Amino acid sequence: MTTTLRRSRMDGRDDLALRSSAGPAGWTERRVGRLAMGLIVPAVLVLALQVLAGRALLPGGIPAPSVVAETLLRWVAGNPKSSVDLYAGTWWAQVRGSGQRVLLGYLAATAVAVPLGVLVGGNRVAFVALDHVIHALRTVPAPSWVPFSLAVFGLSPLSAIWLIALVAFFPIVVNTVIGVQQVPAIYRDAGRMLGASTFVIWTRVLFPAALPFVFVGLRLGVGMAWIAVVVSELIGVKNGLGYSLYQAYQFGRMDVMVAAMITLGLLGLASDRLVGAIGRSVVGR
Amino acid sequence: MTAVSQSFDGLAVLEDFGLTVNRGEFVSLVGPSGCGKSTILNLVAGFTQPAQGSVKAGGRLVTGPGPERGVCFQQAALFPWLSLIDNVTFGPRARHELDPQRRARAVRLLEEFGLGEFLRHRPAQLSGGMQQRAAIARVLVNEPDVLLMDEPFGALDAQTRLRMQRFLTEVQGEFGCTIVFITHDIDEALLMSDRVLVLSHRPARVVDEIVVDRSQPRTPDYLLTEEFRRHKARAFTALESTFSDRSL
Repeated sequence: MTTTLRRSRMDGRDDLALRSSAGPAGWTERRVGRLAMGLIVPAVLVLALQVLAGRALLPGGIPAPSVVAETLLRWVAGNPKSSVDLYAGTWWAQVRGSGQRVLLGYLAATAVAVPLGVLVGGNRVAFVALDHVIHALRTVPAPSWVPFSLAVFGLSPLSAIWLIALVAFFPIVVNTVIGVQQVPAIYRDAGRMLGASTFVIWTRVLFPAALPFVFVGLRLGVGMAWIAVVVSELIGVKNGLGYSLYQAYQFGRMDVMVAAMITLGLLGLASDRLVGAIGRSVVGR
Repeated sequence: MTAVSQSFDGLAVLEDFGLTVNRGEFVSLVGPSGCGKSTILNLVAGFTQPAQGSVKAGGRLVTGPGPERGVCFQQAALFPWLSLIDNVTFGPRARHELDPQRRARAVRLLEEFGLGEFLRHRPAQLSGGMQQRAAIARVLVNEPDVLLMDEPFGALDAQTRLRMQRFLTEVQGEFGCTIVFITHDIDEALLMSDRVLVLSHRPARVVDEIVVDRSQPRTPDYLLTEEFRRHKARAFTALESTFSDRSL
């Protein structure tokens, strides 16, 4: 019986759509080219600032890029014992402090926001009950949660982590809701027709189908987490990049302030790209 | 299904509609767009419940969708985040019935369907015809009592469609499955079916029933025979009558 089928079966190869990815040749060149392109604008900005600083044209004591670079280098790699700069060699401790807060807050936000988003996006009752609540809370600016956090958690690391988690939570949950809502009904039908229970439909159909949107939320969320960590370090903690930034302002160290801002920007960019890369490898399409 | 009525927004799509399909039979439903063909299929699939009447499959009342009534949609509707083999084993896995035998059966099906080299490919990497074959494998792996197909070849180009029709005929020959096939293409219906039901504009009713001689080999050559032309002319007349009904 199988022979009848095999005799005239479609070969498959002949109607295979040609969607193979480009070969490895030229990949490195394009990569390097893109990197070079990406560096043009920062390089021009830095150069312009340096020229202006050289002619004493920068207002308000803005430090020259060369000064900031020197400070940053000393902050990262200086020896705290032999240097007169009290910031020398303390960079890693600040990065670790802020990084831990961001990571903890972000993971807590993800753990709550993704399941909640799937529920709200996939269930009519949950949507009607919760969607407007989420959007109302979402629009409350992060700094206005600071007194609230202090009142509830006191002067503890927990108030910082809570604030970060809260701020990162909203983009993740909102995008997950949208992601689940845009899952074509036919996937649900196909799942049910194949004998999947409601639980399996949620976990193995709706959730994976929504993943591209979930990762949009996760990328926005990690950026928000880095914004929130600076706000959170106004209060309750004695280290971190945000803390260093405010402290440097009080000490009149503009160079350290700018170095802290650059660090925050680079870490934000790196974590955004990292989440993006994880998303691409998980979603794979 | 017996005495089924169904309406949407006050629009009567089915009124007292009845249909019986025998085991092992290939039945096609043809009719004008919007006549309720898909409604009938959705009722049998269990996606929707009849407002009146009852739908039975294999002697049991249909209360919801299930793997014993496999559905092929117009789009293959494979899960784009799963590989072909994971798509085909989705049903058994979802029901916690995936064992080495089932998996081997899934692989064998895909191999027979000419997709053996693409087990690890994602659906988007394959052509429409290949996707549709995988969708059929995904349903057949569950050993369904009936295959419900809603214009499954409608989105394919003419060449691929011809080959898919041939393919489906062979699959039915091998697996002996019952098939209810919806199409608006009379050629397609006559080429594959044992019975072609021509439906009227809504509320749908059967205006003609054409029984096709089973002994005919269903190759594209059949499209050139006298018998085929006779059947086609009859189907056209029946379809025409539904349009004059509507204009009254």
